[in-house]
Amino acid sequence: MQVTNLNSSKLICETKHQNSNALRVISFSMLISFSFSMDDRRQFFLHARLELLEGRLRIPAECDTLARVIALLAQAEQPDDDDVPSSLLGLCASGPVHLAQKIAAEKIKIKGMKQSAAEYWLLKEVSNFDTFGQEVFGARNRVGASKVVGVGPQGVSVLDVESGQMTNILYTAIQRASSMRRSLHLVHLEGAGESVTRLELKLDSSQAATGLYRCITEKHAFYSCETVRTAVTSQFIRDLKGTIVSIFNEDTSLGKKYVFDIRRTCREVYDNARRALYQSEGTSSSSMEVDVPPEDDITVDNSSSVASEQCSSPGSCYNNSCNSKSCKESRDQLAGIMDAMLCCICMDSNIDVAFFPCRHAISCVGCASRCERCPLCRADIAEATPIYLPTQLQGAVTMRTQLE
Amino acid sequence: MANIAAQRIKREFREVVTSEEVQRCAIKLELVNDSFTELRGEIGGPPDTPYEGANYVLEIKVPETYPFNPPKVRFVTKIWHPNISSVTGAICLDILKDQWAAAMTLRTVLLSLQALLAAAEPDDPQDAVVARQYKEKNDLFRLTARHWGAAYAGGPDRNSDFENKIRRLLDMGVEEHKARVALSSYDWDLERATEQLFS
Repeated sequence: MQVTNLNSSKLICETKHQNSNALRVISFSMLISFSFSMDDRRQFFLHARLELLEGRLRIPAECDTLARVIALLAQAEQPDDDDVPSSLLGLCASGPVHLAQKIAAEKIKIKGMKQSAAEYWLLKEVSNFDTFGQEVFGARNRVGASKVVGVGPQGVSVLDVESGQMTNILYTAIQRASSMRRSLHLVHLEGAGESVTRLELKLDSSQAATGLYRCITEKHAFYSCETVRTAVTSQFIRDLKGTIVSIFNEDTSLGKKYVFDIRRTCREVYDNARRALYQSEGTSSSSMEVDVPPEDDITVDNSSSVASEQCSSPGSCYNNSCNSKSCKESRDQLAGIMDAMLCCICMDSNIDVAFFPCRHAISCVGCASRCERCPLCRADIAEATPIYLPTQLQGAVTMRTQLE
Repeated sequence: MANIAAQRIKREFREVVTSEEVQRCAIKLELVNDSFTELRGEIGGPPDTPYEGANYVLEIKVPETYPFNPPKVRFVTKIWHPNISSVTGAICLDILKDQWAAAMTLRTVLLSLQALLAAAEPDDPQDAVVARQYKEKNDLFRLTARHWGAAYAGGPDRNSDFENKIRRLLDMGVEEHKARVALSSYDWDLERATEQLFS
């Protein structure tokens, strides 16, 4: 098992099979829970240790943290040994002169600590590092300067090896990412979003470039895409249930298939939305096409797409990137209807109460109970009576919730 | 912050950002913190008013009980208006007090404030000095309001006559804002303003 991403709230492990890449989502707190085997924790520890020794996981500048990390590593390797193992001397070299005394002091504090406990506390310590949770790639820019690219939950960070300058690019600022042979192209907004910058990175091989591209797009989809959030949550719940059930019944199949494919999940979300539209509008679902971006090109910003005046399936096209006039009008109309059906106070639940004597129907039961006057006309409320909307309109509200 | 309030603000923020008024640069809304309790609004001065061409920044504080209680709004940018305090930026507007309705949104609040700039209510003033000038010397009020817009809100053309009078007070060691307030309050009568400042 090769751990590709560590994050303080989530761990993503990528298991390599002959035919499939499966992503498994595990809560970090489960590292210490009884349902997590010692071998797995050891695996995470070994990976973190390797990242530290090879310099991919940068330790914060303060001396105390460095001393604590070295002491915990030493305790995990050679418990209660006064000397620092030779394998860790490289880490010591990067520290200040008085580091040895600090390490000795830390080692006294943790004397008698079990190996497994030292491994756990080291994992807890490194989870606070800035670069923790990043997948690291070596690359060069157009002029040949060495760069280290880290892809994490928040975005992409590019470190200039020579100057030590770090550039952080949030996923929300990335407009386009594409890979071509050994190169990766990243178009992103800079500063307060006034200027668009194009970053070109050359990697060692086309596989590395594809790997970096997939890493950026999958992490973006996993951590930032609103559309797949529910699917991700249900996937996580399935995994968690499976883990808990497997404690009592090892033969259970629940949660054993750790499959999480971004494209498939997006497709599912689109399908659910279209199904709801079909039920509320009564149109043919066969004419609706899913708009999935091509494999090597993720576009976050649709502003550049050219508006086409004609649409292949007017009246039944619910593709949000379709810019034909009739489709835009239909979408706006539908959005207006769905908005009108929401409680104007919480803007979340369906309207299901009418106020008397003013007869305004603009609120849900929960919010109506807190109103002394009509929220629209301010007339005193003598009575709040439940009302029942047509099922088609209720369907529209449900669909809006799904779309969001 | 209460869940209902946060939910509302998120949606209203989206509503303002996607509204036509934003495209026309008439209103703007920004989040000050992640908890949705404080926002920064911006409204453009309405056309055919002394405030035209100026942009006014507003501080919006959303209470826990929102939307059952109104947001607390005040002008951060200094403004010369009968219903807005020239000192604190406090606003006298019924919908922000007893006439608030839960169906109102931040967008309707910003548009109402823009309407207030276009149609003042001098009989229900927040700033009595400004209200008096508005009723008794309306032409002078309009010149003063335009001058304040130019001085504090990036509005067009400052009045050169007013500028000269302010410069005279600056030469006497008076702070610029104090000089402008004194002159505006005394209908740009330099002698009376000087007397008030040094008495």
